[in-house]
Amino acid sequence: MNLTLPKRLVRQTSEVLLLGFGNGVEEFLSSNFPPPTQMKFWEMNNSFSAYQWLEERAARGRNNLPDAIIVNLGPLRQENYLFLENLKRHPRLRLIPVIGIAFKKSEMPAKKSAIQQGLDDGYIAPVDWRRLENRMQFLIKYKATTYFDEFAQNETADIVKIPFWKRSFDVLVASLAILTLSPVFALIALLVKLESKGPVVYASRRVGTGYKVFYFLKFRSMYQDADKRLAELSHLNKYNSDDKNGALFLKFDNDPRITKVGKFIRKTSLDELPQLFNVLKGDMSIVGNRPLPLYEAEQLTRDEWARRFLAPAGITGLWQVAKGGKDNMTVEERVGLDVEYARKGSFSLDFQILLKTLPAMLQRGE
Amino acid sequence: MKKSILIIEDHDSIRKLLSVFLSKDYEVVAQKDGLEGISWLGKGNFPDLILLDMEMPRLDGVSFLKNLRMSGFFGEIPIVVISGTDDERSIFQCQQLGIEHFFNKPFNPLVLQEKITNILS
Repeated sequence: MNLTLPKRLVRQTSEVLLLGFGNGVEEFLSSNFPPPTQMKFWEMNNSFSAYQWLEERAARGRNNLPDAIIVNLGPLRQENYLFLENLKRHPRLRLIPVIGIAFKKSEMPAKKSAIQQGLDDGYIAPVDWRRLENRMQFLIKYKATTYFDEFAQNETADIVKIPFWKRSFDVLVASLAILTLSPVFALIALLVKLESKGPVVYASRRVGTGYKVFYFLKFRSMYQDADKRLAELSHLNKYNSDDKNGALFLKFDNDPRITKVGKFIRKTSLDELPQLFNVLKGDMSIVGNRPLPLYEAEQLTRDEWARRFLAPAGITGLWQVAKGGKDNMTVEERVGLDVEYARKGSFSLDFQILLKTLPAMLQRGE
Repeated sequence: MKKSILIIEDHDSIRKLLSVFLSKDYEVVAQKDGLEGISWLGKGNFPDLILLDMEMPRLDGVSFLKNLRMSGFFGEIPIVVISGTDDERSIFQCQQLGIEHFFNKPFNPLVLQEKITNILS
């Protein structure tokens, strides 16, 4: 779209055609602010001759046309709608902004049909001149340039659609893994249950693809009242520094809330196994961006980072397999990798990440 | 029938995130700047609510708001601003022109959702 304006629209004086008002602008303006004197009003009462007049002027070139048309929607109603219909069909006249004025609410057609009939805007008298003029100036400036715009009505549908190959892979791998690892599941469940009171699986609300909130499953690795003690421990937070993004992520080096079994399953990443059920359910994929706790996620809805939420959520992803270990990364680096994954996500990238996941887990376990 | 929301935001990532996030509960249409937004409305579309970014090319948020509030047809549509900056001048300008709420990025989409539910109920 080209927004360079025709010279004529930038000039000082505007010409406005008034159709169907016996007393000119006075009839529909509230008295506080009169229009400036350099404004030229053409007053006409017969819509047929008004159209003829416009047609003749249009034939002489667009510099002869008024900048806007104001139509009385009251007494001459039917005739004026025919006038609007004719304007709409004219290749040049249809680009002139048309504003309707009604004197009673009942004279104003429903907005949607008013626009379909050819009005760009409408007011119920009395109208404040400054309001009308502002809107008119805008329409004069932009109606011609936006008239032919077309719009894609809906871009949402495909944005976060998981490809078929990915979903098939997820379902296949997750079911196989659950079947083969069922003894491990049973053993961990038993150990967790034996060591401390509380449920085997801990479900926390996390943010996944498209900011969908779901219950994220892990084997419980903490004592039951762990969440309540989080606040008391915040001074130990590893990321707690003067850096303004510092408090985004909470990590502790030697966290007293963690049970012995918990320490082991965390180190070996076995605590993540129940997420295979999240994968089966469709909450997340095997490979993707880590689903984040609510308080972390809401810090990332910035222009440059929000993209991470458009990629599939996953158990393992780019930052988990990054060189140098994920624990020594800054927040920016981690989110940067998430955004990178959202940009590049593909079958081969998923495959590479998967290949690197096991070594990364083993390295972490040491 | 689902209520409809127009999102006007030039950054792809936020626009798409909002579209996806809100399309569960609402009919969502997204446009890339103020002029596109005005132009889309001008075709006779009347959303129940508009989510508006501030810094945009061609027609920024404040100019969009100013223009819309002058309109007889579109002047009453409730508007929620999601801005990249929180300078007092633009907050003040927005409030003068009449908005429902001013969010600053990063924002909490769950709070936004709640606000929208309140406004539309």
